[in-house]
Amino acid sequence: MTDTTNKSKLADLIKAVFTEVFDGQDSDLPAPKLKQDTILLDTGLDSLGFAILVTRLEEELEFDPFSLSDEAYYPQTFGEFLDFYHSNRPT
Amino acid sequence: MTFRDRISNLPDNRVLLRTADRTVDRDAILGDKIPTHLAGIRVAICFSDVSTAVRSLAMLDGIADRILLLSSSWEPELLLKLARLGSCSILLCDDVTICPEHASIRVLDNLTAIDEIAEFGTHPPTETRWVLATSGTTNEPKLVSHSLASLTRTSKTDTRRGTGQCWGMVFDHSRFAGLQVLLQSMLSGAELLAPSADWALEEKIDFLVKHGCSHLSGTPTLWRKMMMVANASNMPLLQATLGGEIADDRVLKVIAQNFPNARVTHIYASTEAGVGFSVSDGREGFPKDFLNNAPTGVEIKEQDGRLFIRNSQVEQKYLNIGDQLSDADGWVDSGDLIELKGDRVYFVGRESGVINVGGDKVHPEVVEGILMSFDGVAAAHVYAKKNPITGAIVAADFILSDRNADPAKIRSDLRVHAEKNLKRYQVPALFKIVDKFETNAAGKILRTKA
Repeated sequence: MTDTTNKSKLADLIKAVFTEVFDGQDSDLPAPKLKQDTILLDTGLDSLGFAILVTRLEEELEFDPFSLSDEAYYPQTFGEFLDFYHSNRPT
Repeated sequence: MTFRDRISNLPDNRVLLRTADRTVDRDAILGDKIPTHLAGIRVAICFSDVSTAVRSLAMLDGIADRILLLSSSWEPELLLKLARLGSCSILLCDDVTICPEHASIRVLDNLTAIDEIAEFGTHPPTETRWVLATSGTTNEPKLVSHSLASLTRTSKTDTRRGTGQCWGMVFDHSRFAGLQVLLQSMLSGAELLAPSADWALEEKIDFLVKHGCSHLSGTPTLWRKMMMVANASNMPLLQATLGGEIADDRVLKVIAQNFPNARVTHIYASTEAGVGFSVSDGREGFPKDFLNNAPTGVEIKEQDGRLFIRNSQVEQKYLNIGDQLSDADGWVDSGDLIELKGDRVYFVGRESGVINVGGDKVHPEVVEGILMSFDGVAAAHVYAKKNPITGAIVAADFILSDRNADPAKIRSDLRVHAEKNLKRYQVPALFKIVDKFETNAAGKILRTKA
């Protein structure tokens, strides 16, 4: 299991899975680089892509912040997405 | 009263529709000559522009025996097939060149050309049937017949309420959900905001924010997506409606938080049964009370763990297949599985086990078939896994043919095999190697899991 206390390691994992899922879409474009303020909906990854990303991350990390968190919240930027995963990691 | 009558009764010449190109007021909708010489014909309409579609409805309701609404996103062959199934003699669409004329169907691209038709017309109908296509649970679309009365039965069309409201329509106006929004909005004298179908979601939302959208409907999947758009919370919503998929507590909560002035309602409805019922208490499922006392005059009951619904307005037969839609007492089997827990009834999936991946339907057996055609797999079980973005996603448990095989390699090869043979939304997002499958007490493999 990935050590999620290290935020930058978590960021790397998310970026890696994102790229893998993005490449699975029917597109010639390369996966965009994810920065703190990258708007997730603008990356070109569609709803299904996000759904798959969240599922794959749950498989890797063995937790799903969307199920754990009481907050009804949908992150809009990559920074928010990363924070959401980091702050909801099981301790 | 026809659609035309109801629009005419609006108290003033207000704007009823706003698209990217134009605003359309009441008089403009009523401005076309009524083709009385065509009384009794059956017409299919297929326009991408909402204002043209609305003008056709105003011309034809009360004159045509039947109006078949078709989506401009469909292929010409499908349009003609459905027009034939609906026994239509005329197909009105945007571009006649893409739609080759069929022996028995006249294809026209504009409403004024209707004047030139001399041959049709029998006698005025008692009531024009509005026919919609539903995708149902298989890929073959079915036609379901409604009347304007049955389509607007639960619409609140008091113009005192409608005045000043702005209804956003992000669905196709030719499908049940979009048409409901269109009718609810126009007949109550509200302004319908219709962003172009080909715009990206952010542009559609910018349009809705700009024009003060106060009422908006969408599927839970669409709402989750809209909640990821920064500008969305700037819509001055007073009413947020969800339908078409199971609405969970999470999506209801996020909408309530972003739109503090909005009433949040989720609607259970099926194209077959007409409108079902709505729930506005902010919780998923519905109150147990509804089983004996459904609020809108529709009746609902539980039978064999499924929801049955009764509505006397819908013509009780699918138009293009022979089997009866309902049983002898008029009850329609919704095919939705329900579970009673305390004072609440929850939706837990489809009886057929069909998985709804953000609106796209997946048959587990189809996916299992593909997985089992792969050498390394002895048996596969495909099921729905809950997902915060699409509601559900496809997951697969499988048993290895050879226990000594390298699991990582098999999984990755199996994924490639699945991607080659299935549509993207059908491919399991999760592959798990198991020793055996989970079954229920009766020995049936479970189709829905947390």
